[in-house]
Amino acid sequence: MMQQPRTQSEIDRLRETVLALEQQVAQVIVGQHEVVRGVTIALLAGGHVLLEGLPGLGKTMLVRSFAQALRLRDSRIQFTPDLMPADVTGTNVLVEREDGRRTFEFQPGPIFANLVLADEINRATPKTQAALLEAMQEGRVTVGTRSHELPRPFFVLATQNPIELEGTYPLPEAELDRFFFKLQVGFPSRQELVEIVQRTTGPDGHRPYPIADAQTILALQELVREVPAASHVVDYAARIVLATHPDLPAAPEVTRRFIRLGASPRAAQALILAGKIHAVLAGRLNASYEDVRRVAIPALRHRLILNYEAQVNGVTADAVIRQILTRVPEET
Amino acid sequence: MNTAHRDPFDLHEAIHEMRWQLGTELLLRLLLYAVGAGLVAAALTRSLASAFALDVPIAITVGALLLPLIAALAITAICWPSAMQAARAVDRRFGLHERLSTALELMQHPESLRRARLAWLQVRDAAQAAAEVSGHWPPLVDRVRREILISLGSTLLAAALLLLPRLGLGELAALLPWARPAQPELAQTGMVAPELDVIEQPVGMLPESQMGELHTIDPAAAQAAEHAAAQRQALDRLAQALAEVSVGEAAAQAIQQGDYQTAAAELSQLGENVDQLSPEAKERLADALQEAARDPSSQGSRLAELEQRAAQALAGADYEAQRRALEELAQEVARLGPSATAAAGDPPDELSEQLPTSGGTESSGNPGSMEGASGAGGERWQDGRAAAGGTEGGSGTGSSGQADSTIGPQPGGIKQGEQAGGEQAGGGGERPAMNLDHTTPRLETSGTPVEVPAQLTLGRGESLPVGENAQPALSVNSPVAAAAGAGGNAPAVTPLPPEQNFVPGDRRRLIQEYFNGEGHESSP
Repeated sequence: MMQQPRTQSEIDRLRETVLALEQQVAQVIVGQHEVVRGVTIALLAGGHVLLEGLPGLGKTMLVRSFAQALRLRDSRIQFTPDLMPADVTGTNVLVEREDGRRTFEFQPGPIFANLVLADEINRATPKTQAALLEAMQEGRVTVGTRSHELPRPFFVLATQNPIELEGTYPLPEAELDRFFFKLQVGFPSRQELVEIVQRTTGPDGHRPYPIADAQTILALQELVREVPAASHVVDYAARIVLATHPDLPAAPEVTRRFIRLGASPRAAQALILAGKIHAVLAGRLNASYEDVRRVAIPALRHRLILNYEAQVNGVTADAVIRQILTRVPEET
Repeated sequence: MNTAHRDPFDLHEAIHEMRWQLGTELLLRLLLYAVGAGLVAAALTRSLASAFALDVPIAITVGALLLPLIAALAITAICWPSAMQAARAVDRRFGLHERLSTALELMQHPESLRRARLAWLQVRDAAQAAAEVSGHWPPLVDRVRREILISLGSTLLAAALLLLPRLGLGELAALLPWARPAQPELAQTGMVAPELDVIEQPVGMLPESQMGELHTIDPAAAQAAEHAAAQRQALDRLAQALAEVSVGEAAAQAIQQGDYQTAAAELSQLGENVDQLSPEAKERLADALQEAARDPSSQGSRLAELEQRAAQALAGADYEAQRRALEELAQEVARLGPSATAAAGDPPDELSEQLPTSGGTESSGNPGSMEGASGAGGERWQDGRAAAGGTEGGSGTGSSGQADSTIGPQPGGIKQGEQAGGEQAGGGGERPAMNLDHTTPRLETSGTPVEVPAQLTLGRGESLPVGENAQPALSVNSPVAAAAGAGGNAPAVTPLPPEQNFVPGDRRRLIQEYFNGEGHESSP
């Protein structure tokens, strides 16, 4: 059966929703427009975000603001070295019924929420971090022999501190790849800092007004996937991802020199999906080369494993990606 | 038809229009490149041909112009943009963010339209974008702009090279020592152009202006110079004819190198072995000699006559006639060679220096050198006064070498010959006044001691053969004439005692009596 074509009003509603959401968040979070836009794109794409930044920059506040503006059930997990997987996913507990019989009953963990803030995720042990893998990728957790579906939409916002390395467990590559975007929360400017101080030291802090609910978010997620992307644009994204692999003949010099491991196919998916959302938010109905380029850095930076030479020379993944983008032509 | 259904149609129409725009632009661009490339190729061809004296047919120049144009048309036909290429190009050049190409792709795959429910909206969006840019020429990208500018510059430069002859590479090459073409004879020896700077132009090849001036100053000298040049040209033409057949290449090369004795020997040897030539080789040689004989430079000369005779002999089957004809031709080459060499050996710079000062003033003997040059060129110079330019001042060796047979030997000439003897008829230097007037006594020695020179002009210890006809009626074959010229190829001379030197037999007694103290005054 042929589906009814979308109307312009649906697209308009999407744009209005996103603009209103960002506006509400902006009433709490000063500045950080790129981060807010990145989180919004990941939210519409159904992906997870890894936020990296120094303490006190508002990462947790950002997540709370989104949760409040979206009228979603949120939870916060503070990751520590002694945090166990069951503390995240939940566990079976022995429950005595009214008739006196005892049975195991699943007690959901904090991951059973629409929006999960995994604070300082790199402080947990790899075992606990791995517990997030299934949840992030499959949208469900398995406890014992039973799988439990996570509520939809399911959105993990993880944070990590880049400078405190002692007592931390860097996320494994496989887990990093499951994050749709990695966003870097920078230090605010002088004006932004003044604004932050004024807002947080006044008598009454602003609380975001709910803009959309879970159903709206799911509808928007479905809508943005229907944005068309021409085959040559998809090919461009694929060529960018392939250009991150140093062992391929088409790899540019910068890749061969500084990258140990290139991006996975998930990177190409993220480039196109994020590109589509970026196009819609920019007022267009198709993904373009420019959209792909605009989302390339947050989509690729955590998927590139730099080699020792890059670390010694202080070369960042962002710089390498910028170089790669200049080396990959639009037209072949 | 509602608006939604019109969108694909409108988009197709817009893209079709853009295809023509882009195709036309491609054609114009390639034609511009082709014109530039053709003009550059034609200019280079013409300039190189001019610089190196190559005979380039006009067809090559026309081909260089036309070939790129044909290639441009062919490439345009092959690369005429498709609808998708046009859509992508317009997207890129108008900054449409792949709207048109995405919409076109959706329309080309109807299942995509059904599956992607935003597809219709996207097509409408693209159609609106296409309508906005419709009628505008897509802006050129930077690379194409640069290419067009370079092409325009090349076209203008090449057109200037072609249309303005003074800017041709031929003239530029002539100004650069390293770019000058090598002289034929030295090119064969492997010498390079810079060494050729010292090669001087023969007298017969003087520029028109200098030749005209020479005609004004001294018509006889000019005539002699022209004649020498004509002889040289005739010999060159003979060399070209001989080079037509492999057996004649040695002789041709010798002529071109100025080694006429060797050339004569080679020709003579060719005559001896003419019976061993194939009929085809004989025919080619005969044709070449026939053509050389018809050359305007040698018309009416003995060389042309002998060339004609050799050609006729070679066309026949008589071995003896062929051998004899080639032998005579060899002798003629040997005879003309020294003259041609001498003509080629006189520096025009010196001559040009002489020209302004040689008329009517006391000269420093320069006319002598001019005279020697012309005399050595084989000219039968009849009047010694003409050589002297009617002035006091040495006529150098020319006066003695070119004296009329009716005049006979003259003391003045002898004296000058003595002075110039060590210079091999150079004719330079200060000379005592010489009177060549027929009315004056030829041997005005009364009361004056006469110095008897030890030699004439051939160098120390050499003199003319003794005899009645030794000095009068000097011809180009005479040793004096040869000595007055380049000094080469002179017949054998006999060393004689000084007292027997250069005194004609009919006057020898008079001189001897004078020296013996008998004190006769005489006049011729």
